[in-house]
Amino acid sequence: MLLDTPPDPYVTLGPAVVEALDCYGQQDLQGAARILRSQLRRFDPVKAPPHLMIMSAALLYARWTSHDTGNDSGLRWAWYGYRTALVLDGADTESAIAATSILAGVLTDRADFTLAAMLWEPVAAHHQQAGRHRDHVAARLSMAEALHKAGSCGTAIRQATVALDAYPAQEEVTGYGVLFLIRTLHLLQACGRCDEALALIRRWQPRLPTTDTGRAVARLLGCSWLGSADLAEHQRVCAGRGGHRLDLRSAQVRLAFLAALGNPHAPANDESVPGPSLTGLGQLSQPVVEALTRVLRRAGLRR
Amino acid sequence: MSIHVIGVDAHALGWVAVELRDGAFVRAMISTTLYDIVTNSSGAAMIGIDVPLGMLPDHWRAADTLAADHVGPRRGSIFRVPPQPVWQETTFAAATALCREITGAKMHQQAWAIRPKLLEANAIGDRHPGLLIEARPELSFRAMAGEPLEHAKKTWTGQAIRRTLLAREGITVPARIGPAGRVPPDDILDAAAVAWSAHRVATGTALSHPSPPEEHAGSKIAIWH
Repeated sequence: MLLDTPPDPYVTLGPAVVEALDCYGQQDLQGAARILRSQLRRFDPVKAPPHLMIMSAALLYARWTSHDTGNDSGLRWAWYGYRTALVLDGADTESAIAATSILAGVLTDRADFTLAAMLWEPVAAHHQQAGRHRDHVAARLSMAEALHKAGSCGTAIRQATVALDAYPAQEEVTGYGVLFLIRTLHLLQACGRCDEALALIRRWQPRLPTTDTGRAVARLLGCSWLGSADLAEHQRVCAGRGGHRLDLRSAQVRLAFLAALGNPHAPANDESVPGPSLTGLGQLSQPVVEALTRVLRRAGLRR
Repeated sequence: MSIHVIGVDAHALGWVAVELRDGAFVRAMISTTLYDIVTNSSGAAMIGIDVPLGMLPDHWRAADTLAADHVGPRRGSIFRVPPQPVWQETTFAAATALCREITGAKMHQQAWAIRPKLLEANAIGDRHPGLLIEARPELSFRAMAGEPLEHAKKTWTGQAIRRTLLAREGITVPARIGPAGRVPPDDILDAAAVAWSAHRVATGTALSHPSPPEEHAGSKIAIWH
């Protein structure tokens, strides 16, 4: 509800942000979002003036409710946070880039892929210019995935290739690197460009993880992403592939990736992992779970 | 600060948009669909549009009456927006009959004429909550001038005054604006005025009619200037 006299954001939102962050620290995402929602209701995302405290609360709230696509308030606050960061700090600043990333993520979750891709571009460029290779690759891949889902598959795959090429050549691809590779393979696989995916696996094979934990994480990610159900869904937006052989060729990509890791067969319990949300982690050893969680959290795919 | 916003006005063949960066003119665009303007908005933080956004289920919007009162002699440029069910009708006769049934008054033919654009804009607005706001050029110009404008926008004097008002706010539309230059001048000036209002919303200096906005189904209905 709106009040006639706008409340002081520091007084109303400051304690709420602290309390919400505590909640978040205890893995209570819903509780954290609830705390912020109750205070943000005192403000209007269109009418509220640009304010640092409101922006902080708005962006956290938007980030934490991004999955709740039936509720528009997260997106409204994400736009507010984006505008405010631009007004207060200017484009191409760290806060503006953080706000842009959150808005792009919320738009992606709401399947607004064209706008999301447009917003990922400056984020990727900013990280590239700052020499933050991992963040650059992550943002560019997010842009590629958004373009891909919007049906701009050729541009998407070009962007993904640019992103992968930006990954430091001398590094063994553990953690993030594996995830980046798999996300690119997933794009190629969904578009039916399986020969290119297989070639990519061959090219990257020498750089795949060698430790047990690294390989276990990679296997799990591979099973999760390269066997996910959205492959068939992509057929509706992509005209460039032979649909009838999709399942067979897709399976080939997944098996080739697992084989490149030194084990052509996925562990049986990995098969049940449904997409990148990775439920069922309890079946895995603790180091694997921790490594995986770190990777996904850092990549913005898990909170 | 580095923020860019877009103002959009409907014209006979589609939509015309003016983009401002930090309040100054950047470019003008035309498109047959509003969707194209939104998806080519290059990270615009706010898009203002000269089309009613949001309707009420069973009565007229307060925004239109308040805004019309505010623009004085130019009040004819702001028509009352009938309730939501009226827009689902496919003929003017049926729509105005339903409008009379719900509100006790007929709808204006001018309102019916913008139905396709109104439906398009509201569909886009529903799809992008938080990105679009409604603004009316005459209300924006009136806010710039600090008093109602006497001269209509299609007159020589009216256009000269509007250009001067925009220039005073730092918005100078150049003579050559690419394909958008084919659009009538008053539509370009209107889009620029709407962009000015969008910039004011983005920077927290805008006012709205009504204040606070009316709420319906989670949407806030207001005209911003």
